[in-house]
Amino acid sequence: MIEQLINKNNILIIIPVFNESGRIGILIKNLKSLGFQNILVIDDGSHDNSINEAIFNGAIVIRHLLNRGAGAATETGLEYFRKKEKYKFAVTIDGDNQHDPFDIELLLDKHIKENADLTIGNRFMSKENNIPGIRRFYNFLADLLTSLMVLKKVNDSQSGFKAWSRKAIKTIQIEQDGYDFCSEVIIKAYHNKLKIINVPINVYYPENYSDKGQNLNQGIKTALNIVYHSLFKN
Amino acid sequence: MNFEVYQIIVPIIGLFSIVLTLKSHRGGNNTLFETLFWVLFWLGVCVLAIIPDQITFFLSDLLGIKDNVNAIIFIGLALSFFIHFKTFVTIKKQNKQITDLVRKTALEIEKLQNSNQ
Repeated sequence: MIEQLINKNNILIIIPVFNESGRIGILIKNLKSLGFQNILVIDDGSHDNSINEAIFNGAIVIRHLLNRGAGAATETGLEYFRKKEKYKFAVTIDGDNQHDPFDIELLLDKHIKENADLTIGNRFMSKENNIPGIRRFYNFLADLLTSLMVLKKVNDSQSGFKAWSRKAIKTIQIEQDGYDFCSEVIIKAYHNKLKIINVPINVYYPENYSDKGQNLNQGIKTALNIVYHSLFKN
Repeated sequence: MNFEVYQIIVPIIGLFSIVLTLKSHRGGNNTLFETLFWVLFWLGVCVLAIIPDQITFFLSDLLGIKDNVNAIIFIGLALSFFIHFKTFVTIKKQNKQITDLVRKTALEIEKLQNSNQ
C-alpha cells in the first residue's frame, strides 16, 4: 500500500546505536530487504563492533567520538536530515532489534494518510506485547509527567520508534542528551501545535535482553530531568 | 542602625551573583524562568542580610538556632549556594558544548568521507 503513496528513496531511517554488535547488522539487513536503502546509523561512541557491522551492511555511518546519549545521537541524525533536501520523511528506530521493521510501513502509511507531523509507534496499544513490569512502571511515570507538562493524555512517551515529517524535524531541536529526549520531543511537538498520532507496534524483549540505561535508577533520573527541563527550558 | 560585617559582605555577594545571572541570561545560557528564579533567590538573601532581625527571630524561634550562630550559618549557606550555582551553570554549559562539538565533528567527518568517495 505504501508503495503507492511514497517513494522509499525519500525516506531516511535513523538508528542511534550504542554497543549493538550482533543486532545492528541484522536490523540493517531486514530494513534493506524491505526496500529501505537510506539507512543512517549514528554510532554513539560504541566500544564494540557496531560501527563495522553497520558499514559492512551498507548503512551511512556517522560516528560520535564520545558517548553523548540517545538524545544527542538522535539529534545528530535529525541534523543530517535537515541538510539533505531529498528526504521527505524520517523514521527513528532503536538499534537493539526490539522493534519490527515491518511496522515502519504501517507507521508511514498512517503518517502520510493522516498528514501527521509526528507519528509515535505505540507499544502499549497492542495487547500482544510482553513488556516487562519494571519497564511498564517506568513508562507509566514518564507518561504521567509528560501528560502533566502538556495537559493532554500521552501514551508511550518513551517510544523511540517514530515517523517524522520535515516540518516536525525543522521545528523540534532536541536539547536533551539522555533518554528524556523522548518526552522533550512530545512536549515540543504539542507546544508547537504539530499533529501527533499513534500507531500500534510490535515490540520484542528477549529473556537475555540487556536493558541498558533503562533501569529504575535511570528512570528516576529521566523523570527528574523531565520536570526540571519542563520548568526551566520548555 | 549598626551594620555588622556580614550585612555588607552578603549583599555584595548577592548583587555580584545577580549581575552574573543577568550576564549569563544575556549570553543566552539561562532561560527567563531560570534567571528570575536566581535573581529572586539572591534578592531574598540580600534582604535577609540587611534586615535580619525580623526574619531570623522568626527562623530561630522556628528552628531553635541561637542568634550569634545565625550569621556564620547564613554566610556559609550563601557561599555554598553561590559555588553550587556557579558549578551547575558551568557543567551544564560545558556538557552542551561537548555535545555540539562531538556532533559537528561527526557530521564534518561524514561529509569529508562522502566527498572523497
